[in-house]
Amino acid sequence: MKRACLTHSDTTQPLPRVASRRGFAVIWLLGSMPILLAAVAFVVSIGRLDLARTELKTAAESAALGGARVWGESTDDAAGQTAAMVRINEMITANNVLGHTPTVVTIETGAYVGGVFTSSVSVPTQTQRAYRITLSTIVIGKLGAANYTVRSQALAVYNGSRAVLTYDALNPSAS
Amino acid sequence: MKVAVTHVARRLRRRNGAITIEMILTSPILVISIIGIFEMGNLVASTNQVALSARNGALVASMLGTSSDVGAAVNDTLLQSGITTAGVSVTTASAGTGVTVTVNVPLQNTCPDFLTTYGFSISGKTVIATVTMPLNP
Repeated sequence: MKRACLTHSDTTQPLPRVASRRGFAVIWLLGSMPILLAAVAFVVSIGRLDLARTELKTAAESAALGGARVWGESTDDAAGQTAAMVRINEMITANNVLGHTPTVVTIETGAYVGGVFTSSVSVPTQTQRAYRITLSTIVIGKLGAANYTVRSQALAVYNGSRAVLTYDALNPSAS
Repeated sequence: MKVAVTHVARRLRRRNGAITIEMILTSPILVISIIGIFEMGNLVASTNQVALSARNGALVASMLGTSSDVGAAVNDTLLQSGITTAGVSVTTASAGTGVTVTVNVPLQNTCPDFLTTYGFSISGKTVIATVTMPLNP
Protein backbone atom coordinates (compact mmCIF):
# COMPACT_ATOMS: atom_id res chain seq x y z
CA MET A 1 0.00 0.00 0.00
CA LYS A 2 1.39 3.35 -0.97
CA ARG A 3 1.80 5.72 1.93
CA ALA A 4 0.56 9.18 1.49
CA CYS A 5 3.60 11.14 2.40
CA LEU A 6 6.19 13.29 0.74
CA THR A 7 9.27 11.65 -0.59
CA HIS A 8 12.58 13.21 -1.41
CA SER A 9 11.72 13.13 -5.09
CA ASP A 10 8.73 15.39 -4.40
CA THR A 11 10.98 18.05 -3.01
CA THR A 12 13.03 18.20 -6.16
CA GLN A 13 9.92 19.21 -8.11
CA PRO A 14 8.19 22.54 -7.64
CA LEU A 15 5.39 22.31 -5.08
CA PRO A 16 1.90 21.87 -6.58
CA ARG A 17 0.40 25.22 -7.44
CA VAL A 18 -2.05 26.41 -4.79
CA ALA A 19 -4.43 29.28 -5.52
CA SER A 20 -3.10 32.43 -3.90
CA ARG A 21 -5.01 33.31 -0.77
CA ARG A 22 -3.53 36.77 -0.45
CA GLY A 23 -6.29 39.42 -0.40
CA PHE A 24 -8.72 36.79 0.86
CA ALA A 25 -10.21 38.89 3.70
CA VAL A 26 -10.43 42.00 1.52
CA ILE A 27 -12.45 40.09 -1.08
CA TRP A 28 -14.79 38.83 1.64
CA LEU A 29 -15.16 42.33 3.02
CA LEU A 30 -15.93 43.81 -0.40
CA GLY A 31 -18.30 40.93 -1.14
CA SER A 32 -20.19 41.46 2.10
CA MET A 33 -20.59 45.22 1.56
CA PRO A 34 -23.72 44.88 -0.64
CA ILE A 35 -25.27 42.67 2.07
CA LEU A 36 -24.44 45.23 4.76
CA LEU A 37 -25.85 48.03 2.59
CA ALA A 38 -29.01 45.99 2.05
CA ALA A 39 -29.26 45.53 5.83
CA VAL A 40 -28.96 49.31 6.34
CA ALA A 41 -31.62 49.93 3.67
CA PHE A 42 -33.92 47.39 5.33
CA VAL A 43 -33.50 48.88 8.82
CA VAL A 44 -34.02 52.45 7.58
CA SER A 45 -37.05 51.48 5.44
CA ILE A 46 -38.79 49.61 8.24
CA GLY A 47 -38.10 52.47 10.64
CA ARG A 48 -39.43 55.10 8.24
CA LEU A 49 -42.56 53.06 7.52
CA ASP A 50 -43.18 52.65 11.24
CA LEU A 51 -42.66 56.36 11.87
CA ALA A 52 -44.89 57.29 8.92
CA ARG A 53 -47.65 55.05 10.27
CA THR A 54 -47.47 56.61 13.75
CA GLU A 55 -47.43 60.17 12.38
CA LEU A 56 -50.21 59.46 9.90
CA LYS A 57 -52.39 57.92 12.62
CA THR A 58 -51.75 60.97 14.81
CA ALA A 59 -52.69 63.35 11.98
CA ALA A 60 -55.90 61.40 11.27
CA GLU A 61 -56.79 61.36 14.98
CA SER A 62 -56.27 65.10 15.43
CA ALA A 63 -58.36 65.85 12.33
CA ALA A 64 -61.17 63.50 13.41
CA LEU A 65 -61.18 64.92 16.96
CA GLY A 66 -61.26 68.50 15.66
CA GLY A 67 -64.04 67.74 13.19
CA ALA A 68 -66.18 65.83 15.67
CA ARG A 69 -65.77 68.53 18.31
CA VAL A 70 -66.78 71.42 16.05
CA TRP A 71 -69.64 69.58 14.37
CA GLY A 72 -70.90 68.11 17.68
CA GLU A 73 -71.00 71.49 19.41
CA SER A 74 -72.80 73.17 16.55
CA THR A 75 -76.57 73.56 16.73
CA ASP A 76 -76.76 73.98 12.97
CA ASP A 77 -75.90 70.73 11.18
CA ALA A 78 -74.82 72.18 7.82
CA ALA A 79 -72.95 75.19 9.26
CA GLY A 80 -71.31 72.86 11.78
CA GLN A 81 -69.98 70.65 8.99
CA THR A 82 -68.56 73.62 7.12
CA ALA A 83 -66.79 74.86 10.26
CA ALA A 84 -65.60 71.32 11.01
CA MET A 85 -63.97 71.07 7.57
CA VAL A 86 -61.94 74.19 8.32
CA ARG A 87 -60.72 72.64 11.62
CA ILE A 88 -59.96 69.33 9.93
CA ASN A 89 -57.82 70.98 7.27
CA GLU A 90 -56.01 73.01 9.95
CA MET A 91 -55.14 69.83 11.82
CA ILE A 92 -54.00 67.93 8.72
CA THR A 93 -51.76 70.82 7.71
CA ALA A 94 -50.35 71.15 11.25
CA ASN A 95 -49.28 67.51 11.50
CA ASN A 96 -46.65 66.63 8.93
CA VAL A 97 -45.82 63.04 8.06
CA LEU A 98 -42.09 62.61 7.38
CA GLY A 99 -41.97 66.34 6.69
CA HIS A 100 -44.86 66.42 4.20
CA THR A 101 -48.57 67.16 4.45
CA PRO A 102 -50.46 63.85 4.17
CA THR A 103 -52.95 63.18 1.38
CA VAL A 104 -56.64 63.05 2.26
CA VAL A 105 -58.26 59.81 1.07
CA THR A 106 -61.73 60.25 2.60
CA ILE A 107 -63.44 62.54 5.10
CA GLU A 108 -66.71 60.92 6.13
CA THR A 109 -69.42 62.35 8.35
CA GLY A 110 -71.84 59.98 10.00
CA ALA A 111 -73.62 58.68 13.05
CA TYR A 112 -71.90 56.58 15.69
CA VAL A 113 -74.53 54.49 17.44
CA GLY A 114 -73.95 51.41 19.57
CA GLY A 115 -70.32 51.06 18.56
CA VAL A 116 -71.05 51.18 14.84
CA PHE A 117 -70.29 54.04 12.46
CA THR A 118 -72.75 54.67 9.63
CA SER A 119 -71.57 57.22 7.12
CA SER A 120 -73.60 59.97 5.49
CA VAL A 121 -76.51 59.88 7.94
CA SER A 122 -78.81 62.84 7.40
CA VAL A 123 -78.75 65.15 10.45
CA PRO A 124 -77.68 62.80 13.27
CA THR A 125 -78.26 63.90 16.85
CA GLN A 126 -75.42 65.89 18.37
CA THR A 127 -74.11 63.05 20.56
CA GLN A 128 -73.92 60.71 17.56
CA ARG A 129 -72.01 63.04 15.25
CA ALA A 130 -68.82 61.38 14.16
CA TYR A 131 -66.02 61.97 11.70
CA ARG A 132 -64.05 59.18 10.08
CA ILE A 133 -60.92 60.36 8.34
CA THR A 134 -58.57 58.34 6.15
CA LEU A 135 -55.17 59.71 5.21
CA SER A 136 -52.32 58.33 3.16
CA THR A 137 -48.75 59.16 2.32
CA ILE A 138 -46.04 57.77 0.08
CA VAL A 139 -42.90 56.72 1.93
CA ILE A 140 -39.96 57.11 -0.44
CA GLY A 141 -37.60 54.14 -0.07
CA LYS A 142 -33.99 55.01 0.76
CA LEU A 143 -30.82 53.28 -0.58
CA GLY A 144 -32.66 51.48 -3.37
CA ALA A 145 -35.63 50.30 -1.28
CA ALA A 146 -39.10 50.40 -2.87
CA ASN A 147 -41.68 53.15 -2.25
CA TYR A 148 -44.69 52.27 -0.13
CA THR A 149 -48.05 53.90 0.37
CA VAL A 150 -49.08 54.02 4.02
CA ARG A 151 -52.71 54.54 4.96
CA SER A 152 -54.33 55.28 8.29
CA GLN A 153 -57.82 55.91 9.59
CA ALA A 154 -59.26 57.51 12.72
CA LEU A 155 -62.79 57.77 14.05
CA ALA A 156 -63.97 60.35 16.61
CA VAL A 157 -67.41 61.00 18.05
CA TYR A 158 -68.86 63.88 20.09
CA ASN A 159 -70.10 62.58 23.43
CA GLY A 160 -71.99 65.66 24.57
CA SER A 161 -69.07 67.45 26.20
CA ARG A 162 -66.01 66.66 24.07
CA ALA A 163 -64.84 64.60 21.10
CA VAL A 164 -63.39 61.16 21.87
CA LEU A 165 -61.49 58.69 19.76
CA THR A 166 -63.26 55.43 19.17
CA TYR A 167 -63.45 52.53 16.75
CA ASP A 168 -66.07 50.87 14.62
CA ALA A 169 -67.08 47.56 16.22
CA LEU A 170 -67.94 46.10 12.81
CA ASN A 171 -64.65 47.16 11.25
CA PRO A 172 -62.18 47.65 14.12
CA SER A 173 -58.99 47.17 12.13
CA ALA A 174 -59.88 49.99 9.76
CA SER A 175 -60.47 52.59 12.45
CA MET B 1 11.93 14.33 3.53
CA LYS B 2 12.21 16.24 6.77
CA VAL B 3 13.50 19.19 4.82
CA ALA B 4 10.47 19.01 2.47
CA VAL B 5 7.90 18.87 5.27
CA THR B 6 9.49 21.84 7.01
CA HIS B 7 9.48 23.75 3.75
CA VAL B 8 5.76 23.12 3.10
CA ALA B 9 4.78 23.83 6.70
CA ARG B 10 6.72 27.09 6.63
CA ARG B 11 5.02 28.11 3.43
CA LEU B 12 1.57 27.35 4.85
CA ARG B 13 2.38 29.14 8.07
CA ARG B 14 3.45 32.18 6.10
CA ARG B 15 0.07 32.23 4.29
CA ASN B 16 -1.87 31.84 7.52
CA GLY B 17 -0.05 34.84 8.90
CA ALA B 18 -0.97 36.95 5.91
CA ILE B 19 -4.63 36.03 6.29
CA THR B 20 -4.58 36.84 9.98
CA ILE B 21 -3.10 40.27 9.31
CA GLU B 22 -5.72 40.89 6.63
CA MET B 23 -8.47 39.89 9.04
CA ILE B 24 -7.04 42.18 11.72
CA LEU B 25 -7.00 45.06 9.25
CA THR B 26 -10.47 44.52 7.79
CA SER B 27 -12.47 43.32 10.79
CA PRO B 28 -12.81 46.81 12.39
CA ILE B 29 -14.59 47.98 9.23
CA LEU B 30 -16.97 45.04 9.49
CA VAL B 31 -17.53 45.51 13.22
CA ILE B 32 -18.13 49.27 12.84
CA SER B 33 -20.63 48.58 10.03
CA ILE B 34 -22.55 46.03 12.08
CA ILE B 35 -22.63 48.22 15.20
CA GLY B 36 -23.67 51.13 12.95
CA ILE B 37 -26.62 49.13 11.63
CA PHE B 38 -27.56 48.24 15.22
CA GLU B 39 -27.39 51.89 16.30
CA MET B 40 -29.42 52.98 13.28
CA GLY B 41 -32.08 50.42 14.17
CA ASN B 42 -32.15 51.77 17.71
CA LEU B 43 -32.41 55.31 16.41
CA VAL B 44 -35.38 54.67 14.11
CA ALA B 45 -37.18 52.67 16.81
CA SER B 46 -36.67 55.42 19.37
CA THR B 47 -37.74 58.13 16.89
CA ASN B 48 -41.04 56.29 16.54
CA GLN B 49 -41.45 56.05 20.30
CA VAL B 50 -40.71 59.76 20.71
CA ALA B 51 -43.38 60.52 18.07
CA LEU B 52 -45.82 58.33 20.01
CA SER B 53 -44.99 60.09 23.27
CA ALA B 54 -45.65 63.49 21.66
CA ARG B 55 -48.99 62.17 20.41
CA ASN B 56 -49.98 60.98 23.89
CA GLY B 57 -48.85 64.26 25.43
CA ALA B 58 -50.82 66.25 22.83
CA LEU B 59 -53.97 64.22 23.54
CA VAL B 60 -53.69 65.14 27.23
CA ALA B 61 -52.89 68.78 26.36
CA SER B 62 -55.94 68.99 24.07
CA MET B 63 -58.15 68.16 27.07
CA LEU B 64 -56.27 69.80 29.96
CA GLY B 65 -54.28 72.55 28.22
CA THR B 66 -50.86 73.39 29.67
CA SER B 67 -50.55 70.96 32.54
CA SER B 68 -47.92 68.88 34.31
CA ASP B 69 -49.96 65.86 33.20
CA VAL B 70 -48.69 66.46 29.65
CA GLY B 71 -45.09 65.84 30.71
CA ALA B 72 -46.18 62.83 32.75
CA ALA B 73 -47.94 61.31 29.71
CA VAL B 74 -44.85 61.88 27.56
CA ASN B 75 -42.49 60.40 30.16
CA ASP B 76 -44.73 57.36 30.72
CA THR B 77 -44.68 56.57 27.00
CA LEU B 78 -40.90 56.98 26.78
CA LEU B 79 -40.29 54.79 29.84
CA GLN B 80 -42.43 52.02 28.35
CA SER B 81 -39.79 51.46 25.68
CA GLY B 82 -36.84 51.89 28.02
CA ILE B 83 -35.98 55.49 27.09
CA THR B 84 -34.77 57.37 30.15
CA THR B 85 -36.40 60.74 30.80
CA ALA B 86 -33.44 62.73 32.12
CA GLY B 87 -32.95 65.87 30.06
CA VAL B 88 -36.19 65.40 28.11
CA SER B 89 -37.92 68.70 27.40
CA VAL B 90 -41.66 68.99 26.76
CA THR B 91 -43.14 72.29 25.59
CA THR B 92 -46.84 72.94 25.24
CA ALA B 93 -48.08 75.89 23.22
CA SER B 94 -51.70 76.82 22.58
CA ALA B 95 -52.27 78.65 19.34
CA GLY B 96 -55.74 79.49 18.04
CA THR B 97 -57.81 76.34 17.93
CA GLY B 98 -55.02 73.87 18.57
CA VAL B 99 -52.37 72.93 21.08
CA THR B 100 -48.89 71.90 20.01
CA VAL B 101 -46.65 69.63 22.05
CA THR B 102 -42.95 69.39 21.22
CA VAL B 103 -40.83 66.64 22.76
CA ASN B 104 -37.05 66.88 22.66
CA VAL B 105 -35.14 63.76 23.73
CA PRO B 106 -31.32 63.48 23.91
CA LEU B 107 -30.24 60.62 21.65
CA GLN B 108 -28.05 59.25 24.43
CA ASN B 109 -31.22 58.40 26.40
CA THR B 110 -32.36 56.06 23.64
CA CYS B 111 -29.37 53.82 22.94
CA PRO B 112 -25.80 53.13 24.10
CA ASP B 113 -23.06 55.20 22.49
CA PHE B 114 -21.09 52.25 21.05
CA LEU B 115 -19.17 54.03 18.31
CA THR B 116 -17.77 56.88 20.34
CA THR B 117 -14.33 55.15 20.32
CA TYR B 118 -14.37 55.25 16.51
CA GLY B 119 -15.29 58.93 16.30
CA PHE B 120 -19.04 58.62 15.67
CA SER B 121 -20.71 59.85 18.84
CA ILE B 122 -24.43 60.45 19.39
CA SER B 123 -23.64 62.75 22.29
CA GLY B 124 -25.33 66.15 21.97
CA LYS B 125 -27.77 64.99 19.28
CA THR B 126 -31.54 65.00 19.88
CA VAL B 127 -34.75 63.48 18.55
CA ILE B 128 -37.59 65.97 18.19
CA ALA B 129 -41.29 65.23 17.66
CA THR B 130 -44.07 67.80 17.28
CA VAL B 131 -47.80 67.04 17.36
CA THR B 132 -50.77 69.40 17.14
CA MET B 133 -54.17 68.41 18.51
CA PRO B 134 -57.41 70.42 18.50
CA LEU B 135 -58.44 72.12 21.76
CA ASN B 136 -60.95 69.70 23.22
CA PRO B 137 -61.48 70.58 26.90
